[in-house]
Amino acid sequence: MEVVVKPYLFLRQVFGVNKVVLDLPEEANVQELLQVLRCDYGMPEKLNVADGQLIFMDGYKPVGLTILVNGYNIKQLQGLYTTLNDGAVISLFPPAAGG
Amino acid sequence: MYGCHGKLLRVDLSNSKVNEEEIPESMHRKYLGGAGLATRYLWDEVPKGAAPLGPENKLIFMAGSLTGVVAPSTGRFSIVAKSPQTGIWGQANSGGRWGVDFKRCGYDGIIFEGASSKPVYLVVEDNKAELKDASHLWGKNVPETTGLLKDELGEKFNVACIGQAGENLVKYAAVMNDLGRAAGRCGLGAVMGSKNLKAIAVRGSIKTPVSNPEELKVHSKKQYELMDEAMLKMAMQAFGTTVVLDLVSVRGGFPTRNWQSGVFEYSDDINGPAISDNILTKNITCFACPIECGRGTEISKGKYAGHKGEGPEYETVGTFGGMCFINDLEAITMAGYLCNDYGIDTISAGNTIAFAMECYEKGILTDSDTGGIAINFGDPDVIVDLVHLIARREGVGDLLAEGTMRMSQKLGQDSEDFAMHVKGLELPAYDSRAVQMTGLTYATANRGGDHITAYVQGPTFVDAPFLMIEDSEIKDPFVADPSEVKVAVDLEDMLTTFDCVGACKFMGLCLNADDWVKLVNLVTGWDFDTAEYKQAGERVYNLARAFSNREGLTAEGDTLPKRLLEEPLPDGPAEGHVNELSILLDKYYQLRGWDEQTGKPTAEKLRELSLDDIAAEIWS
Repeated sequence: MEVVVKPYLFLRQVFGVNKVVLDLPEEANVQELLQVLRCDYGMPEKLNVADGQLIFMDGYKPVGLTILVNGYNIKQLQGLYTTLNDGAVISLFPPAAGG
Repeated sequence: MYGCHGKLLRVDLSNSKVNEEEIPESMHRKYLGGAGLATRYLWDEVPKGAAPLGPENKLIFMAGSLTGVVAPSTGRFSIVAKSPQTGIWGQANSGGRWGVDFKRCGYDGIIFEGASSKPVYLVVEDNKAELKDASHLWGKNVPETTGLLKDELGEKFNVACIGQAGENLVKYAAVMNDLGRAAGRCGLGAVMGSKNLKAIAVRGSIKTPVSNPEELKVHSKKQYELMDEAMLKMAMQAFGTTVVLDLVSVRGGFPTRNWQSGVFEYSDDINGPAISDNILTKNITCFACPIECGRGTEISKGKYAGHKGEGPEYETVGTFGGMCFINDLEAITMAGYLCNDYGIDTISAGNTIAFAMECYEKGILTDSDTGGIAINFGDPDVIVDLVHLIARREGVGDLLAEGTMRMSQKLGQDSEDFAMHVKGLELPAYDSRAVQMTGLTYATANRGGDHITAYVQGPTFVDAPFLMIEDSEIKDPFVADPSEVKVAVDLEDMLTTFDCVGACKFMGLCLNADDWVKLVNLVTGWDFDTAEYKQAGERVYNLARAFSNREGLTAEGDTLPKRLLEEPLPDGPAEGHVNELSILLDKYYQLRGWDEQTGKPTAEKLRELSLDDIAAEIWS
């Protein structure tokens, strides 16, 4: 199945692109998705897959990513074990506030 | 007395008199200075039913206890008056440097009363103040006024002023300071204009006495270090307040086409990175702020190329962009510059124009009303043209200058259903159908439809916890859960204290409450614990509410536009959702100790907050 990953803000620099389309096995979950991103899309050592933390830059503490699947925060779903559907849009955000 | 000078200026504009007056220490502590103290003066001195644009209304500027100290982001001041937009308690708050420069003149605040028969400005310098003729400034915009006053008085003078919008009594005119900073909301620029007061120029060298300067230095340094580690700071530094746009948009809560949808497909054209890549020239920082979220920008392409200024902020992008269905960043930026120059609140302006666009789309507003201007969604030229017309009250601009509520009352034809305001104050750029708790706080915010009173968007839309309160977790933003209403009440109370002490609410996202209260104590010499400090915020919240109740506000006013209550969002993650307000509001009244029928704080609640005299008056 195909899913779309959209990194935002600083993460676009980490990924080098605005959008990644991935072919994943049926019923893959968020943790498995992060594993694929870590191996294939230039996030070695920066993404701690186990707890969804991002080690961002030298000197900064690891921080939690906000991960949304189809606009729902995975905290409201099953966290890293949230199952993805075909065509799912996964949005990844570093911490942000403003407005 | 520490953290303040203990005196204010009373300026009688009708009789051109300026006097000094003491502020009792007990008042300062009880209402925490700033907006809280100003609200007490407003309660005491503005009689029930006073016309907001008449001489009976007062315009009160007040700095806080932290304004100008070494702690992070503490350069803010508040302005309080009865609002011409809402007819109830009005408050606006601004950063930059003006508040600090004013406080260094040796005063904590200014109460303007009466009205001058001719244009005047006030000049304040080290323990003295004087009214001067401003005939030559009348009709000038904010940069021109600022420039002329600096030429006249000296480059080091800092200026807060109104532009033409305030002079023309545009209902949502702002008071501007430091050129690009706005005390924007509630139309207090129109109150200033109604008094024929054009500007306040300040320069000072008097330090505020601080209770424990040594320890304050050490403790402040620690707070700066904590801020330096905060990712929130880094994100805002890089992308400004518009950093949140993507998060709001992805959740389907970015108001689009006057809130007809929550999904704006062109958000990449106008988001934080788009601003950084296309127009950002430098960061602009307020006094002592490590975040630097302000945007110094220049338009480099298109018909507005060459213009430069400050902004746009998230709200400017949200209202002129999404709400008006415009993805032309240059036009949005230009509209924002013009609002700064004329002295207009961008939230109310963008929201009002979006409302006019929907009225035009539906044939409620016709070419004969608009003087032949096609006010279509998505037309970038129209937003720029309309800002000019609004500020000058020319043509259809005269109608739009009244704001969304009054326009809808005049136009009728069910346009009230999609007039996106609460209590007359236009709503900002978060669709509350995508976050239920935001809907509650729009309905309950003391100054009307406002997002920053509670800033519940922090723990909901943008997933940033507030360390200032015990528990800010909202489990599922789509669900109206009464057990989470306490988060809204706590945030309202705690963030109210920021408007009192003169600090930026973004600190509340990064620093914890005990550290913060310690900072306040080190400056003021007070001995607040966190609970008592928060209760002072609750006191001010209830006092402002009581003022509005005295003006006639009842529980009926705590509601949302019909569109939010009855029209489900048509698309995006929040598809099908409306605001389920009543279930949250019932719990809110209970937690607040407010009477469900009248909407007033109960006498018992007011006495608990040591507001016995207020209780006696509103329950007499």
